[in-house]
Amino acid sequence: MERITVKIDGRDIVTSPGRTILEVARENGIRIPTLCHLDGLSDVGACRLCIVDVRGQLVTACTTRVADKMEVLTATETVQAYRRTILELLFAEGNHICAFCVSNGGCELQDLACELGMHSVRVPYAFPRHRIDASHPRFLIDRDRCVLCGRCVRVCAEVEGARTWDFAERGSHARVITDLDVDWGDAASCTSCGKCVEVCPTGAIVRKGASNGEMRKRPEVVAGLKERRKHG
Amino acid sequence: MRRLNVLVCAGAACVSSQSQETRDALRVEVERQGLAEEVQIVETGCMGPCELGPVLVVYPDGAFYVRVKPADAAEIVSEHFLKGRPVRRLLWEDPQARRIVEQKKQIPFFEKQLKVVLSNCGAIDPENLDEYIAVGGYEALGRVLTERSPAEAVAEIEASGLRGRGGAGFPTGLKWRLVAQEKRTPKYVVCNGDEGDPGAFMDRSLLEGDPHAILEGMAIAAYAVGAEKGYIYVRAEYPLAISRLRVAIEQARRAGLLGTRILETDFSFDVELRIGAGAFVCGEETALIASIEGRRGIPRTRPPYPAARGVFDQPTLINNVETWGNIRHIALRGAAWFRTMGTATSPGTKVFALSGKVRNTGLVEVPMGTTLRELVFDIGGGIPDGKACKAVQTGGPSGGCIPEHLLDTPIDYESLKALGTIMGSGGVIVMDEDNCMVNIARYFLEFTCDESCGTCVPCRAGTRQMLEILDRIVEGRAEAADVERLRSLGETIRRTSLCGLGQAAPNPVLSTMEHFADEYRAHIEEGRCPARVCRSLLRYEIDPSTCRACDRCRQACPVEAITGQPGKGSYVVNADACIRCGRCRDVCPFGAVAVTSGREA
Amino acid sequence: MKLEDLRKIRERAAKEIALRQGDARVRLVVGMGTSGIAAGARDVLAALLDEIAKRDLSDVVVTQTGERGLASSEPVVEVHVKDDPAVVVYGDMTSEKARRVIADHVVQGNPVREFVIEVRR
Repeated sequence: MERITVKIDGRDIVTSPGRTILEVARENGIRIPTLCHLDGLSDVGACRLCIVDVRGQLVTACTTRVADKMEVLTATETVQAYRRTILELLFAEGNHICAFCVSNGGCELQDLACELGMHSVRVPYAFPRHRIDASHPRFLIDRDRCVLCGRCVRVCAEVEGARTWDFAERGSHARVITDLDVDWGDAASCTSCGKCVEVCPTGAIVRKGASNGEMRKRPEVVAGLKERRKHG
Repeated sequence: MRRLNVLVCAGAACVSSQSQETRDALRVEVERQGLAEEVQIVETGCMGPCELGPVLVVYPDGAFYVRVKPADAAEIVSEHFLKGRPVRRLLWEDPQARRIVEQKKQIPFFEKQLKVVLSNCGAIDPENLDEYIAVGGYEALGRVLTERSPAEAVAEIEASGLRGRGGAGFPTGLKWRLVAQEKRTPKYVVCNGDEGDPGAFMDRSLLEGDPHAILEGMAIAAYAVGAEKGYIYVRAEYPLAISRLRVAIEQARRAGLLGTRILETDFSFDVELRIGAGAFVCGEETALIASIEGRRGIPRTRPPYPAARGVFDQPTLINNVETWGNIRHIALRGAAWFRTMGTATSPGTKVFALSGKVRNTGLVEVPMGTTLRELVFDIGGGIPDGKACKAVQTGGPSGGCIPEHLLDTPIDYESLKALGTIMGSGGVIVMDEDNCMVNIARYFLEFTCDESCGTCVPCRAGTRQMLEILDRIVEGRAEAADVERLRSLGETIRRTSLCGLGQAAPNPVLSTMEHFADEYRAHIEEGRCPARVCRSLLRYEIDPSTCRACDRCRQACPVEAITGQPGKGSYVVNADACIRCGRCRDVCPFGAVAVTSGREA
Repeated sequence: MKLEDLRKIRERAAKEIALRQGDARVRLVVGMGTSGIAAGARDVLAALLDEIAKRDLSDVVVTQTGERGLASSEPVVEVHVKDDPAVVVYGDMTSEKARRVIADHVVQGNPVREFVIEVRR
């Protein structure tokens, strides 16, 4: 098996080629923040939070494969500053009010804010108008909390195969929809498997019946499913 | 025998000025005056000076007629075609020399140009395959197929130094080599005809005026890299280009120049046309490929590059329309010939779409290395109405503005980059003292913000934030800190966006902030728009010493913001009600309405 | 279609658009003012065109011009040869004389002296 050496934050690490910077970093206890990445789903490099510095160029660790003699810096001041700005942009873009959210305390966006030291949001809030879609008998989507990570779209296509979720429109008008932009309850392709609920990092797609801070998810089921399918 | 060839321009601009009705009128007159055997009327692609359309050229005289109307047909036919007396009132007149120019090649607009890629546009009928062949069309393909190996074909393009004309300027030969080296088949060649920059119409004109050149270029490439299938992706907003391409593809297939066993060799290649659906982002190569595949047109991270994994995950060679337009010339005349034009790092010519505050707007082709000043003044004819040139914008929404004092820069990829802009696809917008650079930056940012695909956070949310800051600036609600906010956000977006759209979106803002900082300062600190464009910062006032109380302004005002009595004293504009539309200024016969900007001292 | 066939098409088609190339070896200018036409310039023009077509001369173009002022000698035909500053002006032309000018002057390079009324430099 071919072995290559990559340097991450000054540390020489021996690994095999074809793996992503993120995989190699995690294996070696180096923390790189992510949001749209989820073990078991394809990587798109959309949120840009996992950017790392490779010889002055900023690339997403989740999509970039390691190469021999690659030098990676995961937490330069510039990178950290950019990550914070990106996070602030996310908060300002939606209506992320933790105090009223079922995912309070169990939200990846909230965790990132704490991890990156986001004390305040230095860009004006957009206060967009979104409608809650609670038409499905068991689940609901609150787009105020959606960060457009696309995990729901990917899990529904790649793991469940129903392809119920997709993106519609573009730019700041982009949103996730079910089938041809019908209410979730009317989306004939939906199998109600609930995988989108488990993978959604925030309180956007949730199970009904949870109250403030009661929503807890198990996104790791996807990686588990992927593993089991590989072997059996 | 035909003794006169009358070429009528049928580029989109002239068509919309009714050049086809003019052509029809000419045909009727020629018939009526018994000259049908002697006079041939041909429709061609864009000749270039779109401002002056409909244009037509009469050969062998070379007489260049401008702004021809159907009603002029009878006179042109009887005076010029029959009696040999060109109709002087319709010939192009040099505004500076105040003389009528008899021949097309004497017109300054054409004198300094070097038409290579555009050599057939305006010279042949794009829907006539024989004419394309007559000027040497498909000879390059024939020679490559019968006399050269694929490797030699790649080497020729590499040696030429041709760089991608879509904007990035990536070495074309290198891209060909990378695809040629890929082992997996099938491979594809793709033409990027999504030309989305506002103000750019180079690719459109080439597709409309010389579609076979693109087909020939792609066929040569397919042979060189080992592909048998090609896609031509054209934006839906170019219906004329699409129909001309369809005709050309059909003609080429019927003539055995496309399809199986081209020119009876073992080489087969065919193309499919794909139409865009209104997304600027689909000009980005990975988004374009997604669109061809029937998926949502959004970009993806690279690597892998399309050369390795492109259409349907196969090795793909994707080039811009103008790049394709260069291929047959290089294949025919050689890399050494190509290098005699242009500069060492940017050989060849470049097609530019000149627009804005310049006399001769339209399509031009010049060797790389021509200075911006020559482009704007010698070819463009300078700024009309005695105004001073303020800046030249290149590269569309991904580019920047070059201030007047830097116009002696020779045009090539590196020099433009050093000025903080990019070559881009070739759109050049000229600005004068009446343009507000902040407003211009806002215009481009609004465009990119609207066209953002929405996948990545910095572009989707960041450009929106930048736009809101610019809104504050042009509306006089900004604070001093906003300049730094813009710069900082701009840097973040530029360095962290997923694709070129986001990475380049802050350019117009950052570029104008650097070269025209005083305009930003005036807007923010003084609430003043120096060019008097930003409406919220304008005040319309009537000068009491000039006002004659004629009542015209009060009548013209759509919101009844002007008060006064006819014949009595001076009229007054109510600043709170005034919407700054400018109608009062337009109708005042005495020039009594002044527009000022800036907070009251 | 083979490459040779393509080249044959080119040869044929190139003649059709030769007028646009601009740089002919010989340019014949026929005076087509009112007096010229009245004197029969159109027949002279037709004869010139016909003779050129018959002889398949691809380097000769025919243009017209208005009044030249030589009303008494109409129809007038000027012969301009590339790189030769002298312009030979023929007067009182007829269809037969026009064909002779093509044969002797244009093709062979020998001006037909008895028809010449002026040589301009």
